[in-house]
Amino acid sequence: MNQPSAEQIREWADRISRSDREAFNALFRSLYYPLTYFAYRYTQCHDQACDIVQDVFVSVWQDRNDIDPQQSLKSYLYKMVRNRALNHLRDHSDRMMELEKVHLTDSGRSLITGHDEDTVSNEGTDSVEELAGNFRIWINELSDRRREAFELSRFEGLDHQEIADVMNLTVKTVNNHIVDALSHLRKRYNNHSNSKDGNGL
Amino acid sequence: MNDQSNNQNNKHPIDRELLKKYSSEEQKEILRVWEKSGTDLEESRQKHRQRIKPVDEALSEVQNRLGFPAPDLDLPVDSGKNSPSGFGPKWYLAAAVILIVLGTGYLLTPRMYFVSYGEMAEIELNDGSTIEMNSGTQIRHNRLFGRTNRTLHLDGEAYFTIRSGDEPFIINANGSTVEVTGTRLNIRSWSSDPGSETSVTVTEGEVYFYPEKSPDRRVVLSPGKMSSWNNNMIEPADPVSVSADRVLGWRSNLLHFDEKPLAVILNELERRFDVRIELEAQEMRYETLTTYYTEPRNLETVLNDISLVKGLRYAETANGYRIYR
Repeated sequence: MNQPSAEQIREWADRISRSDREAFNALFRSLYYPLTYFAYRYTQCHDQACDIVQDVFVSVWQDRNDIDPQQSLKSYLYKMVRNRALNHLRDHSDRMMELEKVHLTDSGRSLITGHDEDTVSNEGTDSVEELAGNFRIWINELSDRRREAFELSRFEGLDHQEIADVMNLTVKTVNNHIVDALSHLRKRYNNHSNSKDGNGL
Repeated sequence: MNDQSNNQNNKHPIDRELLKKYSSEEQKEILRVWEKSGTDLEESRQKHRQRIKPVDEALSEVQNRLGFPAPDLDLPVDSGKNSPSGFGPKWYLAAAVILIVLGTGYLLTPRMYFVSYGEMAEIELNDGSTIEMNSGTQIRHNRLFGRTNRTLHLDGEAYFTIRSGDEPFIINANGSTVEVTGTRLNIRSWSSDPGSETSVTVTEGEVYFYPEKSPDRRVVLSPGKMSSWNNNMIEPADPVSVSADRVLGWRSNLLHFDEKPLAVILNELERRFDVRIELEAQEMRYETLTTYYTEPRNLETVLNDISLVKGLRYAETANGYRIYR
């Protein structure tokens, strides 16, 4: 599905603030998968991701009187999900350690997919899978904040203002993070392509 | 119902403004990287969909929790209906008491804002004032801010755009106080810098600046003026004219130091670039330096310049740099 337009979300936000349940249902349906996917990348647990997103929607309804249609409800939802996911990680620190361990040791895995079957082939065909695996590794090499900003832009389709709202940063910092992330990926990708050409000869 | 689950859009566009910064040759490369980095996005979203609770089920659970009427039954919502049975009025009373107790505790815990090293942030307060915060800056205020008071505490550097309001806006920073109504100003006050000096620069409106303990020793600052105070001074220095562009350069990632000790400069670099910098030549701590960069520089360029001017050398360490003779 295409994510709903900003216009559409604003209309829903306005109707939800006036206790319109249909608008609430529509908002839930359109953002449930993107948000649980986003939450899952932190929690690495589908049930937990689902719980977090449900809780966030419950509180949106309960606080519907405070909804400000001028503010992006989408960034607000991402922000709430992110906060709760981070709290969850903090409160389950063994899980956090596990995550960190994964980060440090298993370069083939990333928060992007997080499924163990995804293995990276070392053989030299430039298959789609290999490239995907490589990008996963390279994205994982980014610092946490940079990776978060990049992933919110690339995978969640948030604009820089929305990312700034979600991560409590200025747009300028978001820009910097994404420029840095891109130049890192570009360097890696170019090296990779070049070494490939070399081997091919 | 599942029409929404197909065809998840993989075409999240890159930010246009960002792309403009590159040459047309570079743009092609950047766009290729952008596209390739999402290679398995679609597949991994599909995998996620198969494993997560289906949207209809998740939604109906949420509706239950909120007491929405079941579909096809247009019952009025009775808020009491969904509360667990067995809790009578006494339960509510107890809950109220607990709430009051917790509430008081809540009001006493200050609200904190902290910007990580290597980042900058902008916050909006509930009175409509906004604050741009430099890397490593901390601001706190109590929960009644905007209602019974407009007082906050600053450790770091920030640019304030203050809405006029009934309550005066008061900033306490390392022993000094700045009092304003509606105005724009920059305050730099790091407890970690030697002397914890506070400098206030006004770009719009008028402010009062005084030591926290002697409000009568105040100076009045108008636009374009700067004054400083530290613990060893009886009253803030006489206001001097400064270039606001330079003082506010940090907001554009620039560096500007006017006769600042090396210790202060290195602290700033640590925060800005999120690295450790060890000054092994300790005797140089209070050596001053004036430097201003008109465009953002990388850390090595800055360290190189500093070393050159001060006859020092620098080398990379595991988590940053060391500077030595």
